[in-house]
Amino acid sequence: MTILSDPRGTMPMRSGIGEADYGTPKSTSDVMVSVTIDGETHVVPEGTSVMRAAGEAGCDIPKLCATDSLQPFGSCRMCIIEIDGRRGTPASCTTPVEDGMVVRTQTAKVAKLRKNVMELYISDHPLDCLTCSANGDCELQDMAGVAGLREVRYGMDGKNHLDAPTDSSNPYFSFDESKCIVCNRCVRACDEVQGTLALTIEGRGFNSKVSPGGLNFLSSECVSCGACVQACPTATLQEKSVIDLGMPTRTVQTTCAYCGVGCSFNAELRGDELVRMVPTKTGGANEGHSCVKGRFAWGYASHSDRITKPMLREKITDEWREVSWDEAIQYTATKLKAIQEKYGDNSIGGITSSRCTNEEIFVVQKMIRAAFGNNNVDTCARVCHSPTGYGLSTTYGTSAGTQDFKSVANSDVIVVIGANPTDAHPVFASRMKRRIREGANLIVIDPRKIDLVESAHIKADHHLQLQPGTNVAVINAIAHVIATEGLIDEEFVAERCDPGPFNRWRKFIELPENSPEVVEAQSGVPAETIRQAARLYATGKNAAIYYGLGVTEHSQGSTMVMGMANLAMATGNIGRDGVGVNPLRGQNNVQGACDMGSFPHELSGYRHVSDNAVREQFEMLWDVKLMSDPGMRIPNMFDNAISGEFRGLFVHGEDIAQSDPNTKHVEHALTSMDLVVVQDLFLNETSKFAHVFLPGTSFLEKDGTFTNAERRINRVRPVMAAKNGKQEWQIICELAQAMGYEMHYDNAAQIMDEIAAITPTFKGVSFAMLDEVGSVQWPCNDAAPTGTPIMHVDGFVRGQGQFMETPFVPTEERSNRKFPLLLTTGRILSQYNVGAQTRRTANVTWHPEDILEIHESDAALRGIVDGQKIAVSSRIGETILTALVSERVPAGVVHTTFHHPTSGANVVTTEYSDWATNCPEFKVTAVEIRPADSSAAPTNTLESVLTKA
Amino acid sequence: MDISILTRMAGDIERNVPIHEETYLRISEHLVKFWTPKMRSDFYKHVTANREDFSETLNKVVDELRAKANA
Amino acid sequence: MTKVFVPMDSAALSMGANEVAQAISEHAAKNGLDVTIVRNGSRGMLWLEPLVEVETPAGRVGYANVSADQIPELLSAGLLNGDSHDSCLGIVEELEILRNQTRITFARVGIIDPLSLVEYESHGGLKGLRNAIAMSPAQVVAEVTDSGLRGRGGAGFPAGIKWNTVLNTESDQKYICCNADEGDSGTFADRMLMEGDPFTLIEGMIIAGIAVGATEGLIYVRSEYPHAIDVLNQAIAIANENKLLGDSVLGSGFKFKLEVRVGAGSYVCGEETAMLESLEGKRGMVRAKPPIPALVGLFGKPTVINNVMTLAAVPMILADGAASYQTFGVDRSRGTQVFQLAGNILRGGIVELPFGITLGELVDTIGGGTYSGRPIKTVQIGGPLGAYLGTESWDVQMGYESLAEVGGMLGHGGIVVFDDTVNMAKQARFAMEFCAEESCGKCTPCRIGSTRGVEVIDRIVAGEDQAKNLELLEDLCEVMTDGSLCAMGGLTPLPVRSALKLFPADFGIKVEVK
Repeated sequence: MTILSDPRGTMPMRSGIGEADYGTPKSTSDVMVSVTIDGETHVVPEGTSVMRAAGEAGCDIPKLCATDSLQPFGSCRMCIIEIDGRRGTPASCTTPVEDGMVVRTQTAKVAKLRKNVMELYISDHPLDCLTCSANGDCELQDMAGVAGLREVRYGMDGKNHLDAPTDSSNPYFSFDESKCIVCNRCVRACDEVQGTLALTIEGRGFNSKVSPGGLNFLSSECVSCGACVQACPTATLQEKSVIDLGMPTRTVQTTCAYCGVGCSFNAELRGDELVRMVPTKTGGANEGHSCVKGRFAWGYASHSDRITKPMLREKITDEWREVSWDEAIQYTATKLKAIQEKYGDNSIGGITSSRCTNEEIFVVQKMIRAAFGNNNVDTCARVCHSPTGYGLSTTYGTSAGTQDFKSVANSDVIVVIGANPTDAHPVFASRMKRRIREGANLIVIDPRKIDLVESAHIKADHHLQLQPGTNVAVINAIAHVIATEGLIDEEFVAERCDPGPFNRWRKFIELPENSPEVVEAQSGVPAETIRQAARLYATGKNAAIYYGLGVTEHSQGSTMVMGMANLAMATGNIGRDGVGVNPLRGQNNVQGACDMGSFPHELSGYRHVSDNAVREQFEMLWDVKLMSDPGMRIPNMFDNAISGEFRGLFVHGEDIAQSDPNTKHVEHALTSMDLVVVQDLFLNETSKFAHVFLPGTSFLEKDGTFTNAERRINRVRPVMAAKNGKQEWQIICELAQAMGYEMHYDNAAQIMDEIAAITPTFKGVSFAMLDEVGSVQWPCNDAAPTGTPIMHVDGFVRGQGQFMETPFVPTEERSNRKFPLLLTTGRILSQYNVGAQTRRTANVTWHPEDILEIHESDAALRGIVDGQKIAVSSRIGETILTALVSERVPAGVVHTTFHHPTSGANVVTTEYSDWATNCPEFKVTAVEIRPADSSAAPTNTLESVLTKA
Repeated sequence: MDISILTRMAGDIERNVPIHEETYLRISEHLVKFWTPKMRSDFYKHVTANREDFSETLNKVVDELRAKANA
Repeated sequence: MTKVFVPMDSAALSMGANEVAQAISEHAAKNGLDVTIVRNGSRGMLWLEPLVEVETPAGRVGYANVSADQIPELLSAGLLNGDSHDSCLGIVEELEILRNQTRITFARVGIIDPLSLVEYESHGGLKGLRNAIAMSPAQVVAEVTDSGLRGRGGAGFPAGIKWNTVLNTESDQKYICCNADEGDSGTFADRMLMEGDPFTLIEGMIIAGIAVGATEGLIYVRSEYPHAIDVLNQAIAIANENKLLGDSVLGSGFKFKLEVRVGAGSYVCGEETAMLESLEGKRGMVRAKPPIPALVGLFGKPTVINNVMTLAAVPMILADGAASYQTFGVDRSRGTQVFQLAGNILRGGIVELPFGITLGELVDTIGGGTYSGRPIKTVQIGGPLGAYLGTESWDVQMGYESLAEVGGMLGHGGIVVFDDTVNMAKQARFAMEFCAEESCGKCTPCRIGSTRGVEVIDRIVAGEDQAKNLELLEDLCEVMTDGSLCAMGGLTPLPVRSALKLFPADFGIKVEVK
C-alpha cells in the first residue's frame, strides 16, 4: 500500500496499513554496534534485532510472525538469514546484532527455504485472495509474492483447516479460523499489549488454533480492544466494517474523543465513509494501542439520531421547530440581550464542554467573557477534576498531572487511588499492567475490588478497601507512618519545599489522630495494611500515584489531592521519570477545558481574573473590558436560577441534567430559566429543558486540538465534512457577533495562534508545529520548545513545594438507619460518561443498562437476587436499577454507573460538594434499596418536575 | 442565591481550613478568589446581621472581606 | 537374618516384583524365617527381571525371572542360602555382562536401597559434594570442564562451559533445572537412576548449585514416571531431614532447595526451552534462542539445564577427579555412556560403558541380537527422531562425532533394534506422524511440514508421481532441518532420510534416490 495523503489534512499521513513495521521493538541501549548487512555497514543500538537493523537500513527481510509492537517470537521462519561464521539459518527477528556481524539476507539458500516455508503455509490456506476482505492488506499475500511462490506441490487436498468455522459473535470483528496461520500475533498482542490474556493457542502441532477460551469471542474474557485485529497479518481477525465496505482508500490522522488518554488514530475512509479507526504507533499517548470505545465505537457520529439543523421553541412544552442558522443565532442573541437588559449583566452565563476542542472551548469562554461581559463561565470539570486543579496548583503550582504516560514504565511502586483504569482508561491501564507484570508493586486504594486488585498475572500487593468518604483519613495515616517511621526524604524536602509549611504539616501529620490505628476505625482498613503500604510507597524506589474521580468527587476532594501531593513531596517522588501525582482525566479534553480558561475565576493558563496585568493583556487583544471578579460556578448558576437571579444559560456539549448531581435540583434550575441553549450532537436530558438547540460537530468533523491527561496537545483533524454545515467555533463567533461583539477567525489554526499569543504555557504551540512533531506536552514555550513530558524536574512551578495540612473532616452524608448503605458511582469499559455516544453503538452489547453492584450479605438481608429490579432511594430521590450480587463491593457499599438516562443514578445523589471547588460528592450517597415490583420510573420524572415548576 | 447555601458553603470551608491564627485570612482569601461579589456581599450582610449565629472565625472573615473591599 | 533384594524398579514391578516380595515376606513369616527384604533398584538386566538377590558370605546370589508362585519352591530349594536352582545365576557381580561394564553413573543402581542415605554414603556417595564444598565455585566448574563431560540429553554440549556461563552471569537468583522428561522411545536410563539411586541426582544438582551460585533446583519429571516421582520426593524429604538440602548444605553455608515438578505428557517439553515454559506454568511451547537459558532461563534468570545422566555423572567426577573420568572414552566423547538396549533385542536393558565401543558389539555381543532370532535389519539410535543405521555401520564407535560421521546421533543413548520384518517406509511415515503428534505447533516447518510429510510419504509409497514427490520430500526435509525452531522439527528428517536412503525398496521406489 502506498503512502496516502488526505486532501483535507495539512500533512501527508501514513496509513495504518502502510505504516512502517520494523518487526521487533526498538532497542533503548546507548551502546552502538556495527553490523554489515548485504555488504553495507550500519550502526545500531545494541540489542537491535538483525531484522530491525535491516529494516531500518531499508533492506526489508520477509516476516509474518514479527511486528514491532511485540517481542520477537521466531515462529514463522520466513525471516531466516545467514550470518558469516555461524552455522545454519537463524531467524533474524530473534537474533540480536553483534558488533562486527556480517549478515546476508538474500542468499540462494534462504530464498529456497523461505519459498518452501511459504509453500507449507499456502498448503493450508484458502486460495480466495481476490474475494478476501484483506485483499491488498494481507501480509501472507505480500510474503507469498516476496517468496516467489508459484506452485503448491503438496496440492490442496491434504489435511487442512479450510472448513474451520468463523466466529462472528463480536459485534465489531470476526474470527475466520480457516485463514489463520497460527503466527500467535493475536495471542501475543492480547498478552503483551493489552494484558488481558484472553487468547491462547489450543491444541498442538497441526491442530494448534487460536482460541478465546470458552464458547466464542463475545463470551470470553476479550475486552475488544482491537489489538489482536490490528496484529493479525491476514483476514483471520478482521473488522466487520472492512468485510462490509472493503478496504479504505485514504487516511486522516486524528485523536480519539473518548477518555482523557487521548489516543491517536488513523481514520481510514473510502470517500467520506469511515471504514475503520486504527491506532497509530506514533501516537504519543497510546503508541499503537486502543480500547473498544476508540477503536470501534465511532458509529454514533453518523447515527440517525444526530440533529443537523438548528431548532427553536418558545416554551419547553412546545414542539421543536427547525430554523435557519441565522434565525437561531439572532433569536438566541436577542433573547440573551433582553435578559441582561432586564436582569443585569450577570444574569446569563455558559458552560464549556470538555468534549470539544481547545479552540472551541477558548472561543466559548471568550464569548462569555467578552460578549456576555461577565465571568459566568464554568466547565464540566467542575463536576470531575476541579479539586485536581485546586490541590495541585496550591501545592505544586500547576493544575495538571506531573508525568507523561510513558513514565509508568519506570515506576517501581504504583498506587491507584479511586480510579478504575482498566474500565475508564484502558489504554493507559495496559501500560500500567505491563509494568506490573514486569514486577512493579501495586497498591490499590478503593472501596471496590476493581480488576487491578486481581486479574491475569496481576495482583495488588495491598488493597486498602476503605469505606467511601474516608480517603483523607487513609492518606493521612500513610503520611503519618512515613513521618513517624523516619521515612521522609529529608534531603528532597529541605532542598525543594517551603520549610515553614512543611514543619507545620509534619507536626500535624504526626498527631495520634492520624495514626493507622485510629484511622482503622474510621476507614475499615487494617492498621497493619496501611503501615505496610506506607513503607512500600516510601521505600520502593520510584513510586507513582494515579488517581481518578474516586479522589475528587468527595466533600474533601481538594484535601485529598493535597494529601497525595504532600505524600509525593515527603518521599521525594516528584520531578523525575517513574514517579509523580497523576490524575486520570475522564473526558478527552477536560485538561484542555481547564487550560483554556473555562473556570469563572481563571483566564487561560490558570491566571486569576483579578490579576490586572494579565487581564489587561486580554483586554488589549480582545478590545473589551473584562470583569476582575470571579463569576458563578455551575452550582451557583443553578442556585441563582432557582432564586431568579440567573435567567439564561448556554450549554456547550454537556448533558448537565444527566451528569450533575441531584437531578431534581438541576431540573428545577433549568425550568426556572428564560433561555436555555444547548449545543450538542443529540437531543439529551438537558435539551428537554432547552429553547434553542444548536447542532454540533462530532470529533470526526472537528479541526483543532485536544489536550489529554498528560498535558499532551494532540491534533484533531476533520475526517469528513461537518454534518451541521458549520464548525462549532464558527457558530460561537456568529453568536458573539450577533450580540455585538466582533469575533472572527478564518480557521481553527488562528484560534490556536491567539491562545499561544496570550497563554505563556502554550507559547510555542501552533497547528503547523503539531503537524510537524505530532504532539507536544505543555508547557511548550521558549524554555521548553519541545514541550515538557515531566514537570517540576528542577524545582516546583510555584517555586518551593507547599505542604498543606489536610485534616480529615468526615462527610455529612452518612449511612443511617433509614439509608444504611453507601452508594458510590463509577464507569464501565464499554460505556462512556452519560452514554450519549456509546449507547448509540454496538457497545450496548456489553452493557445494555446500568447495574447496581451489591454485596451478597446486603442482598440476602433484603431478599434481593441477581438480576432483580430494585429501587434505590436516598433522601433526595429514588430510581430503579438491576441488581448484580457481587464480591467487588464490600458489605455496606453499593455501586452503580450513570451511563443510561433511564436509570438516572443522579436522581439520588446529593447537594454535598467539595469544600474548595464545589465538585459534587458523587462518590458517597446514603441509600436504601428494596426489591422493586415493577420497573417504575424515577420519582422525579420530567412530568413531575414540570408540574411543580 | 439562598443565604442558607452560602452559609453551608462557608461552613464547609471553615471546617476544612486548618485552625491557625491566620485561618480567617485564608478563608477570606478563598472567598475573594472563588466567590462572586454578590455572594460575598450577601454573606457579609447576613453574618453582620446575625453575628452571634456565626463562629468567631467567620465573623473575622466578613470583617476582613469588608476591610479588603475598602482597601 | 538374611537380606533378600527384590527390585522396585518400574521394569521389575511390571514383571511382578511386588508380588514376589510379598510372597517372600509371607512365606518367611509363616515359616519363621529371619528375612529382611530390601527393595533395591534394577541392575539393568531387564530380561532377568524380577531378579531376586540373596546376600551370602560369597556375595549376592541372583535368581532370574522369579515369580511369586515360585517362592515356596525357591525357598525350599535354599534360596536364602544362595543354593543352586534352575533360575540361579550365581554371584551377580561376577556375571560377565556386569563385569564388562564400567559403572560410574550407575555404580550404585541395583545395589543399594535407593532411599538409604547411609548406604548411599557407604557406597561412595557425598564424597563428591564434600570435595565440591571445599573448592571454590570456579574450581568445581573447572573440574567438570576438565572431565570432558558433555550433555547426555542429546545435544552433547560441554557441561562445564554451560556451567561457567551461568557462574559468570550476575543475578539475584539462578536455577538448576534437571530435565527428566525422558520421552525418547527406547530410553529409560533416567528413570532407572531416579528410581534406583536418587541421591546421586540430588548430589549432582547440589554440586551444580554450589558451582554456579544457584540456590534452587527443579527436577522436571514426566508424568508417566509415577514411581520415579515418588522415590524422588521421598529422597528429597530424607535429604532435607538430613540437612543435605536446605539453608546450609551439610553445614557448609550453601543454600539449596530442590523440588520435583511433573510434566503433562508432552514430548516437546523435553526440549529445554519448552520445559522452562512448562515449569513457569505456561503452555509447553519452544522459545527462540538466543537468549540461551544459561543467560535468560527459568523466570528470566540464569539457569543450568542438564539431563539426569549429566547431573548424575557429576558426583563421581568430583569424588574421583576430572582426570579419572577423562581417562574413559574416545576423542571428544569422554567418560561413560549409559546405553539403553531396547526393541527387538534378546538382552534388553542398561549397559554403562566408556565411549568407543562399536555398535555391532553393543547390539550383537552384549545385546545378543534380536529377540525374535531373525536377522537385524536396522537400529535406531537417539530416540524416535534418531537416524536408522544398518549393519554396514556395525563398526562405528559409539561417540558423538563418530556417530555423526555416519549420519547418526547418539541422543540419549537409546538403541532400538528391528529385525528384517520391519517396513522402513512405515517407520519413516511414523517419524513424521510422531512429529505431527508431538510438535508444539509454534514454527511452521514442524507444525505443517510434519503433516505434509506423512502425506507425501503416502503418495510415494502409493507410487504417485514418485520422482516429483521424492524431490518434494527432500525439499520438505531440508526446510524442516534448516528452518525449524528446535530439534523436534529439525531432527524429524533424520529417520526419514536415513530410512529412505538405506531401504528405498520398502518405499516401493523404482527411481534412484539421491
